[in-house]
Amino acid sequence: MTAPLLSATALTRTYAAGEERVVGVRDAALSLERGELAVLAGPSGSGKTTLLNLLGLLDRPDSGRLELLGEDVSTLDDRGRARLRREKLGFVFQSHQLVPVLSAEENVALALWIRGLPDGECRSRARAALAAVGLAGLEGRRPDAMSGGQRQRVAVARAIVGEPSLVLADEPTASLDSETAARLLDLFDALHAEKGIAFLFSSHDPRIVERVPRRVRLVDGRIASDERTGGGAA
Amino acid sequence: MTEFLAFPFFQRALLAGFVVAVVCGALSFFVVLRRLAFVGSGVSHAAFGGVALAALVGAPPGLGALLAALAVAFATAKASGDGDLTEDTAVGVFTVAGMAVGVVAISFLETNVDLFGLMFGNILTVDPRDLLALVAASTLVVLLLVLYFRPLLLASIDEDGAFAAGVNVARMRLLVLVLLALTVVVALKVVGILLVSALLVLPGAVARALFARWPGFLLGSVAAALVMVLGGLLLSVSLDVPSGAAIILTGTLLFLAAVGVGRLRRNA
Repeated sequence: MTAPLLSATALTRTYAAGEERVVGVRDAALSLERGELAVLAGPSGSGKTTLLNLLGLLDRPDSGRLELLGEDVSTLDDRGRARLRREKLGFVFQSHQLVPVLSAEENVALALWIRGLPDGECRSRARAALAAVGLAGLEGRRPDAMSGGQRQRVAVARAIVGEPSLVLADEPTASLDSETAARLLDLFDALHAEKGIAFLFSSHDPRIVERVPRRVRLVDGRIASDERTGGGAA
Repeated sequence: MTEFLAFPFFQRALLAGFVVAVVCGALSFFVVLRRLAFVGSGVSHAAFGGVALAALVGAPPGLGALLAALAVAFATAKASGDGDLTEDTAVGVFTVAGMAVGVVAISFLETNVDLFGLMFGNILTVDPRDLLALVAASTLVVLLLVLYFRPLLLASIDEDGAFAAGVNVARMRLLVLVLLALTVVVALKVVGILLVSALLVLPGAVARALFARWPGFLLGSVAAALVMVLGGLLLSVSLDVPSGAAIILTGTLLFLAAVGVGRLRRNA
């Protein structure tokens, strides 16, 4: 039997706030299959970003166990976690900033350049990733000459150019108008269908959330429900 | 003016100016992109404490400046990396500490210290030993910049994205500070403590006003630094004014011209 893409058990993360401990995520259990498309839904402060950071190996839990492609990552050191992030994961964050002095192609290729891959390969893969997100012909354009939606597509291209198993996105539609946000979701759907990449992203927008086949809802740091379209609540 | 070219001191000054311009121009690209002007200024002021302490114990001033600048770089990286302080707060704290140490050390000195030279530099007094140290430190800075250019670029703009992509962000933050410290020490003799930060900012600011893409930005920054340093040097000997100030004034004029050209281009 193949191991799930991602399996989290009893993940808990708290933060110090003065003399108190504030719960970011408590006892989160979540399993994600290869090629799945899922959303973490909930209001601000419900723990979506904390959980995404834990699942994306950007933060460590206080307790709990996390497996990525069958490998227990709980015991990995920083270098091992960085390797897994580089090789298996892609990220699209709200805070993602494109390098203003680089073209769209160079911004995407940068993710491969820092791995030490040859320049020609980096550029050809960057062009292919830009074409996959519908930006063919805009390779030479700089970020400040692109719309918000186009810039977010460049960020998606940067996330998928390394051919990750899973792309994590934190509120990727938050700064977009509803039409552009819907198109970005269409793009996730297409990439997930065509390339078999799993997508897990967070959103507090009900119009976005309802379109996703799997919806994991968080309330006060706990997973309150896990629903699948057609399959009902898990 | 060509008669100056026959003098060894002027030949050394030209060579030192060329090397400093290349290093400061290349690093200025990152200083402007990463908004590190204040950090550069802080590290240079801390170097003052190191020079004064070195004078007190009879050590080479360059070594004192280097150790103090590196100490501030490491302390800043540690304090900001641990989340105790933001980078600019950490620099602000260590800067005044470095200056205060310098003032106290100077008060104990029984010999005269060339404070004017320390504060404003004098490229015309570069001796062969200075030149050798300058070339060695500059080579190290350029080598590190070339080796780590891409991760530095990503970490400079998008630290979260760089971390997610597997870049050791803490190491990149430290590397930038160490490069700044080394460059400040390299440029100290040329423009002095008070003006060195301008040499780290002006070339990049000139190039940023003229070039939108990175190759032009980077090469333009180096070119602007060369015009600043060599033009300022010629101005200094022609008008018999302090070289550090002449270099910075040349850079300021260049910056104003670049901003004007940039605006004309945008409005065209």
